[in-house]
Amino acid sequence: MPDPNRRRAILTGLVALGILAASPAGAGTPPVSAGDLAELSLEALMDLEVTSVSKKASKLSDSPAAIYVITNEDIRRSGATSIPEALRMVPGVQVAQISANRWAISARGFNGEFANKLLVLIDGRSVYTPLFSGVFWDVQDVMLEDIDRVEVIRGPGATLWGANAVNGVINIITRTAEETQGGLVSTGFGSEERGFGSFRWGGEAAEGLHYRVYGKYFDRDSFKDMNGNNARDEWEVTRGGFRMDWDVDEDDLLTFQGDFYRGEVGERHLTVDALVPAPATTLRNEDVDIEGWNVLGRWTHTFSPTSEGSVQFYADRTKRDIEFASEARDTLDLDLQHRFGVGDRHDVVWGGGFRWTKDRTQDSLRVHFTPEQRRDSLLSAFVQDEIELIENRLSFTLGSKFEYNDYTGFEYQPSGRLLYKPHEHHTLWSSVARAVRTPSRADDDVSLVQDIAPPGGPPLFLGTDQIIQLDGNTDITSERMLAYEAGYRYIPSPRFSADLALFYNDYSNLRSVEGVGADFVTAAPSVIVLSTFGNNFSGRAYGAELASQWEVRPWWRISGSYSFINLDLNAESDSADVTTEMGEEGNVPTHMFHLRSFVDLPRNFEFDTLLYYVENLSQGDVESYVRVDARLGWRARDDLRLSLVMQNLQDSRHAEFNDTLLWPSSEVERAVYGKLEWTF
Amino acid sequence: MLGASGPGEYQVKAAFLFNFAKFVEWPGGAMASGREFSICVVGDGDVSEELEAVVTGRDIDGKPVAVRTLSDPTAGAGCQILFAIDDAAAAEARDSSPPGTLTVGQSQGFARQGGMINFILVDKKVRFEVNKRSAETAGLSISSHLLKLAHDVYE
Repeated sequence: MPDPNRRRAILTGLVALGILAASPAGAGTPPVSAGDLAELSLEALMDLEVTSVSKKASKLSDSPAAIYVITNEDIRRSGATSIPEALRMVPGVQVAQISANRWAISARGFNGEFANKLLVLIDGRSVYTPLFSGVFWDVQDVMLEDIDRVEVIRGPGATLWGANAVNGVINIITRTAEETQGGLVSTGFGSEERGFGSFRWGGEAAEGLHYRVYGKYFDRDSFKDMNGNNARDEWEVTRGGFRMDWDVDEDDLLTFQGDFYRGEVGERHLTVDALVPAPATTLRNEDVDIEGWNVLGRWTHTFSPTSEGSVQFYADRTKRDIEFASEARDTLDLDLQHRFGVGDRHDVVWGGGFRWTKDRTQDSLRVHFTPEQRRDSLLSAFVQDEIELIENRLSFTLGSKFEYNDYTGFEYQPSGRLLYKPHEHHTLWSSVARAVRTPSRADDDVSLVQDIAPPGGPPLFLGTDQIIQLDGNTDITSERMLAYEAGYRYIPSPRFSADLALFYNDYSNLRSVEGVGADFVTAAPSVIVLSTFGNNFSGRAYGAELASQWEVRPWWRISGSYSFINLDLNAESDSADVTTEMGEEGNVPTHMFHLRSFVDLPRNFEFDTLLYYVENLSQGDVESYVRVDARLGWRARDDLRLSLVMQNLQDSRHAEFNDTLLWPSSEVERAVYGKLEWTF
Repeated sequence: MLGASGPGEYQVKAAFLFNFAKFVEWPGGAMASGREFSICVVGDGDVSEELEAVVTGRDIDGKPVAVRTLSDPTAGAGCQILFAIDDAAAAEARDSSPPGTLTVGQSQGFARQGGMINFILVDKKVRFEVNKRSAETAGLSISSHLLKLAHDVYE
C-alpha cells in the first residue's frame, strides 16, 4: 500500500475511508498555498512532504455497508467536548445522555444504560466491557484534537470484528505521531465545563521515529434531576498518554502507544443497607473512583504491494470502585492480520486473535457475582475475500468470523456483500450477515437486588417486604441476528453526496427476564421475588437512514440526516416477560433528524449551527426534543484559535432517557463555554 | 487541520505535472490542437479539484491550463497529459492512449511496463520514474534535466 500510516484502516477492509480525513477542506494552512506550488521548481517540489491519501483507502463510495465518518474538522466545528457528544452527528445513531457522565448509545435500537449490541474500538483496542456487554462511556476519551476520524458502521460488522458487533461498530482512530508534530495547548471553561485543558507535544526522536505525549484534564458540572435538584453527577478525569510511530524501513512500521487515566465520577444509586431482619435501602450519592491504563504495540509489514500483515498486542486495565459493585479487569489481546491479492480479482484478508480477560468483583448486599473472580478467554479467526466480478463495476465480498468463547463455545458470523457501480456517480450495495451477542459476565453470574417493594403492592401484593432480585443464568445462550441491508449512494461531485441505507434485522434468542418464583427469607418477614435471564424473545427491526452533504458555496457547507426505525419484539409463548418488549421498543426514537451548517465568514471567523430532533420515547415518558447548538470560531492568528460554543439553546433542561436499572437519570442543561487553542 | 504536515498529495503532483510540461516537447500536431493545454484525469477518485487549485490560471506556451476528467483514456484526444490515477486506468492508458499524449501514472510498474512517467512516494515525498523509450516512440522528447531528476529511467 502506498501509505503506511493508514495501513490499519486498509486492513479493516470495509472501512477504507482515508480521503475524508485528508480532504482539502481540512488541509489548514500548508507552508505553501496551492496556487503557489506551481511556481516551485522540480527540485523544490521533490523536497516537499505530502499528506498522502492511500489509493485503496479513498473509496467511501465503495463500501458495501452503511458507513459514516466523522472527521477531525467535524469534531472541532461541532463544539463537542467528548466522544459520546461527537457521535450525535452520525445518522441513525441514538445518543441519549442519561446523566452528566452517562450515555445510552446505540444504532438501530436496543439502547440503554447497558446497550450491548454496539462494539467500540479506540485505535484497534476494544473498549466494550464483557462485564455487562457495553461501554462505560465515562472513561472512553482521547485528545479530541488528535483524532483523525471516527468511522461508524451501522449494522453488523461481526465478520471482521467478531461477536457483539451486532448493530454497529465504532472505530475511533487517532492521528499518527508524525501527523501530530509540534505543540498544542487548548483550554477553556464555561457553565457546564467548569474547566478543561489539554496539552500535546510531538517531535521526531530520530529519522523516521516520531512521538507525541499528551495530557488532559476536565472538570464538569452536575446536571439537575427531574425535580430540579442537583443530581450530584459532576465528574473530573485526568488523562495522559503517548504514541510512537517508527518507519523502520520502507516495509516496516512499528507503533507503540499507551494511555492512563484517573478520575472521580458522581453517581446516585440505591444502596441496600440490610436485608434481614427487614430490608432497608437508601438513595446515596457517591464519588466513584475510576482508573485505568493501556499499552498497545503494532508491527505492520509490507511483503509486496499487494500483500501486508500486522501483529498487534495490547494490555488494558480498568478499575471502578463503586460502593455496591467494584470491578477491576485486566485484558490481554493478541491480533494477527494478513491481506494479500490473488490474481487481479481477489483481495483476501484473514487473521486470528486471542483475548484473555480476568476480573475481580467485590460483593455488596445489592450486587454480587458468583464466582467473585473469573478468567475468560476468546479465540478467533476470520477470513474474507473481496472478489471483483466485473472490473470497477461489480464486486462480491464473502467472509466469516469463527470464535470460541467460554460462555457459549463456538460461534460463526458470516456475511456476503455485493457492490454494484453502474456509473461512477452511483453505487448500489446489499448484504446479508449473521451476528451474535455473546452473554456477558453479568448475564451468567450476577445476583442483583433490583428494588425493595413495600408490603401490599406489586409484584405479589403480599403483606411483607418484597426483595426483587435478578439472578444470572449460566444456561443463557447468544442473542442472534440475521441482517438484510441495502444501500444507494449518489455522489455526482465532491460537493454533493447522498447516502441511503435500508435494513431489516431478524433477531432470535434475545435476552428476556423470566420469573422464577418466590422465596421466603428465613427469620425475616420478607419474601424474595426472584427472576433470571432467558432467551425468549425474537424480533424484527426495519428502517431507513438518509444522510446528505452539500457544499452550497465554497464557504458554506450543510450536512443533514434523517432516520426511521420500527422495532417489534415478541415473547415466546412460554415466556412471562412483560417488561422487556415494552422497554426495548420504547427506548428507540422512531424518527431522528439533524441538520448542521458550517459557514466560513470573512476575517477568519466561522459560524456553525446544529439542529437536532429526537422523537419521544414511550419508555419512561421522555418527550421529543429539539436541540439547537451554535458555535462562533475565530482564527485570530495562524497559531491561535478562539471559540464560543452554546449548547441546548432551546431550553434550560430536558430529559433524553429514562429507563435505568441502577442509576436514576438527570436532565441535560443548557451550556455555554469558551475555548482557546494555541499551536506552536 | 492540526498536524497536517504538508500540502495535499495531488496538489504537489499537479505542480509536478505543470513542471513536466516545461521539460517535455510534444510533436507539432499534439501541441497545435486545441486552445487549451489539457491535463486529463482518468480513473476512480476525485482529484481534479486539487489539481485545479494548483494549475488554474497558469499558461503553458501561451495556452491556459485546463483539467478535464475523462471516463476512458481512449477519449483522450486533445489531451497533452493523461494522468491515470488508478491501476485499471493506468493499464488502459499504457495500451490505448492517443499518440502524442504524455501518459502519467501512479501505479506500481507503470513506467517499466510502457507508461511514460510514473509517480512514486518515497518517505512521503513525491518521486517519479521515466520510460524514455515509450515517450520517444510516441514522438515526445523528454529533456535531460527531467531525466536527471528521475528516480529511475527506463531506456
